[in-house]
Amino acid sequence: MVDSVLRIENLSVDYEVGAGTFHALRDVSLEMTPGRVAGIVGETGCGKSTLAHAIPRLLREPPARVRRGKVWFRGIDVLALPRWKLPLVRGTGISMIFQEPINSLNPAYRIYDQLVEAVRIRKMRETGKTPGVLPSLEPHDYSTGASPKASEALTRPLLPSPADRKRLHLTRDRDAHRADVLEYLRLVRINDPETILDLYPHELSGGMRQRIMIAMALSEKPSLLIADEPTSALDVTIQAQVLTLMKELMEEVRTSILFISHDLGVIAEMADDVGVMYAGHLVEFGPVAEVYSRPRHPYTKALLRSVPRQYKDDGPLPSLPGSVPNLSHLPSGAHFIRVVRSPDRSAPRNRVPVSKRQKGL
Amino acid sequence: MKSAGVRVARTSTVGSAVATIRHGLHGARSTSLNLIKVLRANPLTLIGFIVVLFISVTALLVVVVPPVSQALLGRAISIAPYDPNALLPCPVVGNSTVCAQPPSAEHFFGTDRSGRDVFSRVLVALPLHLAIGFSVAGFSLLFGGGLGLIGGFWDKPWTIGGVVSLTIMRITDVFLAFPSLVLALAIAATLGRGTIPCVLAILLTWWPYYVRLTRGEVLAVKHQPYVVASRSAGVSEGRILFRHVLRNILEPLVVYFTMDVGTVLVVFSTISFIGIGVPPEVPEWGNMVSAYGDYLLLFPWMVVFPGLAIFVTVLAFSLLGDGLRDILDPRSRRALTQAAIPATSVASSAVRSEA
Repeated sequence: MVDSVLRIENLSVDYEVGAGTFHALRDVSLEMTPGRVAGIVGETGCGKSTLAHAIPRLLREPPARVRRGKVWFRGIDVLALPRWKLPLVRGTGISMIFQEPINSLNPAYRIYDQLVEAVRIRKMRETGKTPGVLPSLEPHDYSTGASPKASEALTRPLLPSPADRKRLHLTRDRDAHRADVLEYLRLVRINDPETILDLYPHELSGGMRQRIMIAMALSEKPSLLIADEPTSALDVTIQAQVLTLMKELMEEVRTSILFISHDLGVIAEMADDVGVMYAGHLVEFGPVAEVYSRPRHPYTKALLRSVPRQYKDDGPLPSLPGSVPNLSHLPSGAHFIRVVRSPDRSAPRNRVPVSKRQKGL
Repeated sequence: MKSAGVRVARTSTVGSAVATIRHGLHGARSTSLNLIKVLRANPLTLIGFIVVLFISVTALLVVVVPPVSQALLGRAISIAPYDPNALLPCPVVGNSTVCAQPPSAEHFFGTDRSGRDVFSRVLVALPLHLAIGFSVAGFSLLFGGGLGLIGGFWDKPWTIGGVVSLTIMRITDVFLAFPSLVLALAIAATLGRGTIPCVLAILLTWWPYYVRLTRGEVLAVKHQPYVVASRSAGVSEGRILFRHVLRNILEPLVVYFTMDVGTVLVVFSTISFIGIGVPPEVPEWGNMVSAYGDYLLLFPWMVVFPGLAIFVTVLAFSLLGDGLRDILDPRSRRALTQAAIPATSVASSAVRSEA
């Protein structure tokens, strides 16, 4: 397959906790083409965030462990890279927006000092002063094996040469990138960015912090942006603003986005393709219009049924009974089962197999 | 600047509030101004700061003045009114000589039973105590703190870092298994009397606490979302360690260090008090308390003044350490340095940006 930014092959991730092994991701395969937005939906505990963190290898290991599978990012086998080379792929290659805007900014530094770090990383890489994957590299043809160009960027020495270091010294000036940083703050529609630059994170609201996180991720101009529930911690009005903003930004900065959310409406709004996850499986993946109008997997059907409709009075809101089964003892073969507990929350009353594993998924 | 802040808090125009933020920020950028504001807000910190400053300057003068005056004037002038080891002539009262004189204008802290001036001895002991406090706590901070950083940051099992950090922590545990004072006493007793063996003994037992403290703090900070976020932005591990992890644990470390200077001093005096530290002729507070402890009720000044010196020094460092917490934390710093916290004005500018 030609032209993919990201290709995930049979990725399986386990969490080894005291109680046993939890299979958080099971054989997830996914392919993303440049400039498209792929959404991932699923309920709590289905492995969405694990998937998001596994791609740039940000999982906490231990307890997490990648059991098998491959993550190809523009021809780079991310899972095979030595740890010290990972920073070269992250940032300008794969960047991420996190769920918690409250803690995602370092409380010890002013906004400027944090934003400038991202801008500086990109500038240094663009000028070749430090190695790293750059967005300008063409998409990779997988039939030819590993990408020489992308790999070449990773084999340059980690430390700049003495001559480069001399030039680097000039850019260490605190205000060297001020104009760039201001530009990105304006891009995320922050008013009076001059003032905001000098504030500490705790002096800003959650919505503003999330917009700064977005500005930070975008200022590196990544090839792939992973947005892990970027609006879940925000209230509805701010959420709408941030989503509108992200949509506008997608058109301004052409980046492939992996948008993770538990909100079907948000995905419908944002994404071109949608993947539905359940209990660690990616049960369905396809263009949004197709999946939403003709869902094939019973879980997708059930999920879509439980979306409230304002204009139709069709009795009580349908919902899925029970919760996701325990991921350490998932019966093999069964793809979609629910654990239903009696109202007093005692032991599971029954496990309801809803469907058997479907062929071809 | 303060008055400007108060004025803006009363008026509610967004424009002037934003102007105040700029104004306030400009001032807050200079650290020295910051320090003054925090000190003004906390009288106890102010006391601690003044006493520490006074003690440090005095200690410096005691050390520096004699050689400088020797060089400039050709004769050494001491800050201490008497030679700390000189036996002063004892006055004759009735038909016996009484060497132990109570405090007077001549001898501020009185004289001891051999006729030595207690004030001079307390004063001359000051630089020794400060130097030992700072050097032992400082070495422990750098050495123990460095080991703690490594042990906390690279602790993934079955990697080189994991094995190294495991080794560090188990060695630390061995040291922590002994009560530090008992271990220090044992080492000091083995090495023999003298200042250097005594310092070595404290050094050897002191650093493990910093390893524990630092490692705990690193473990708490290293999985914070902002560390993961900076990692996702492509920041290298070394930079994350120093810029994001170390910066955020610096505050408890510095506070602990400051208070620890006093604690080291107490332990040092304790070792001397027990009689296995510095030789008896060296002016040292613990020594002095120990030497005349038996005469506490007869000649209280011989014991009370050296004891008071220990007390005041330790208290001052503790108070300063407490205040440093406020100075180092950006949250309380801004709150303390600005009369009006511009939260509402930031919110209003946020509202405007959305409009």
